[in-house]
Amino acid sequence: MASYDNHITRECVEAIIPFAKGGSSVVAMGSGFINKELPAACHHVPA
Amino acid sequence: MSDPHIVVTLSQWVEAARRWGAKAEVELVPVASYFGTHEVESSVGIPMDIDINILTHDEIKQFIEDYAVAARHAMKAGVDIINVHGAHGQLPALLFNPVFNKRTDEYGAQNFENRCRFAVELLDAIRAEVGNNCAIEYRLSCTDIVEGSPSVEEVIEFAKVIQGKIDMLLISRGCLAINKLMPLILPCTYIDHGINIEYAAKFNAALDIPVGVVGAVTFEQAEEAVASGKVEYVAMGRQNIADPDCVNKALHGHEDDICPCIRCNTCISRSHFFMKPPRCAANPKYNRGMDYNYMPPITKQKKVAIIGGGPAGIEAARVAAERGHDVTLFGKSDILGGVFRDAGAAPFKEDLRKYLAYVIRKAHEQKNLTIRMNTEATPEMLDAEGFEAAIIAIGNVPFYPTWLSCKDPGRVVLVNDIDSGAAQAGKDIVIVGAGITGLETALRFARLGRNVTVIDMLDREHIGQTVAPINAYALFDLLDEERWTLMCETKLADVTDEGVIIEDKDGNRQTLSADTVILAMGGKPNTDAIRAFEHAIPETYVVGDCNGQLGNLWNSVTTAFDAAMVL
Repeated sequence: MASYDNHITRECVEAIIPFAKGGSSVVAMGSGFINKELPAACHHVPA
Repeated sequence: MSDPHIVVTLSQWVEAARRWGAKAEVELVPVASYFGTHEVESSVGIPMDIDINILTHDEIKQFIEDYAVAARHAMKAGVDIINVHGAHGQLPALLFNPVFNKRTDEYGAQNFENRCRFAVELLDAIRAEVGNNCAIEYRLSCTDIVEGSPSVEEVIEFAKVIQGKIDMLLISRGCLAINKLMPLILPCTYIDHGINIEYAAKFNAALDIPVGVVGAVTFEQAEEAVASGKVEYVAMGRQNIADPDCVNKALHGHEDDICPCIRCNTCISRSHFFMKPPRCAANPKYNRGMDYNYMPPITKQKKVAIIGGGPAGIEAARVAAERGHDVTLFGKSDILGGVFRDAGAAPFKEDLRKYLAYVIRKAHEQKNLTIRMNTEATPEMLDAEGFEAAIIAIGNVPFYPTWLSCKDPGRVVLVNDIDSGAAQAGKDIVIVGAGITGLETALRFARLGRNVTVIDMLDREHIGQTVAPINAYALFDLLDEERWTLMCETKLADVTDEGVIIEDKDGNRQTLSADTVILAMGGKPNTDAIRAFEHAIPETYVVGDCNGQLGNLWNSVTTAFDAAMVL
């Protein structure tokens, strides 16, 4: 699963519970963003 | 993860993740511009999420510091494993790949050591923060797939450089920023399962640390890969989403109870292309725990009619019966599945067939569910039999252009009839509608050597982009391996004895030769039939294709589930 919005909400906590109960050895959260903003020069969003 | 306050909420997540014995892992990545954008321009003309060639030296150093700070916060929250995402075109992967890396400083592509430097410094910085309090897993693409990228053998050499700094290595493939590669990163329903296993085996043989693999690995493949020593562990994403209990079920020998992932990629398409929370076509509870994890049991058993035996009807019937209602499913034909059964007809739709077999099996297991096939429910019948509630899942009415000159039903046919075998396609085929259904039909017949032309009123950029762009990219790639023609911004004007008359956006007409015209133009709800049921039964819900929303499995299953949960 991914946090995808840079926040860990109660929904995010609830979402992991079925996986945690499901028998996997490891449950992982994807896209844990290390920073809030990229360097300005890295924004290459097309017009 | 850069904010120290994340420790508060992340620790709650970690507690939940560890409550039943699992280890908690957090993947670290820089904020990417690709969410909702994709295919951003770059200095080398190939999409990159972050253009590594215009980063200053200080900015690269800052990234390393940011990773380390994020790892510190993860450790403070109690995370067991830090996952450094070095696959899929993430920063370490881009800097290792000379196709992308044109830098001339110490992180440049002049030599192998420089190309490894960012990953090495990054891992050293993280280890300095977390010590032995957290394991470090590194995620690595065995190949970026982009032409000119490092060979698998060279990537193994890279892995040897970092193996002393990490505890586990997870093998994937590809670059996420390049749209056409996404179906190989998240192998979709048209791609084989377990495509990375043999590559991962090479890494496992060459390294001294545990090597795992990810990429649509089935339980059978996982069993074989671990037992034979090809890998030490297997990661599963989408299969867990489709059925979070799948590991326990496999562990206890209940593989038939596992709801299979159909690899439609609704989950990742929603988050990566549309900036929406991921959802699952097979598991409507996924990521909606606040709505359904603590749903109270029913207080009154109701006599419920489910009208329709397609995927929406089956889901509604199963859930309503599981919750304790007295449920009867009415199906017009002699077999459950509806048009979904036809949609799974193509050889490359094995995932869909497995899913359908699973849901039918589960429906038949329900004690409170009576299935009445070969029975067309009517409002009068339901009223007379005392049904208190009805879930209407009668599908839609396929769109058929009435203006066509050709009245030969064997020449102009609905795609459902082709799928079911009720109609046959000739050698020269024109398919009207380039949605997923039309494109899948095109692939099916192109692979049989037929001459296939697909027309659609949309422009090329918007075709196949409504639900799961990743699967559409795969379809286009596979179709391009065959002989076919796509005509965008083109509509069907007529079908005559001479051929198929089409018209472009400027009104120019031309005639195509075709012995079969397959209509894949979608459909519309039968509102009269729906209204009649609504008037006859006190409590009704309209779900699946007949609710006028997108005609796909996610809409069908989710709306059916939601209705069954509020009965």
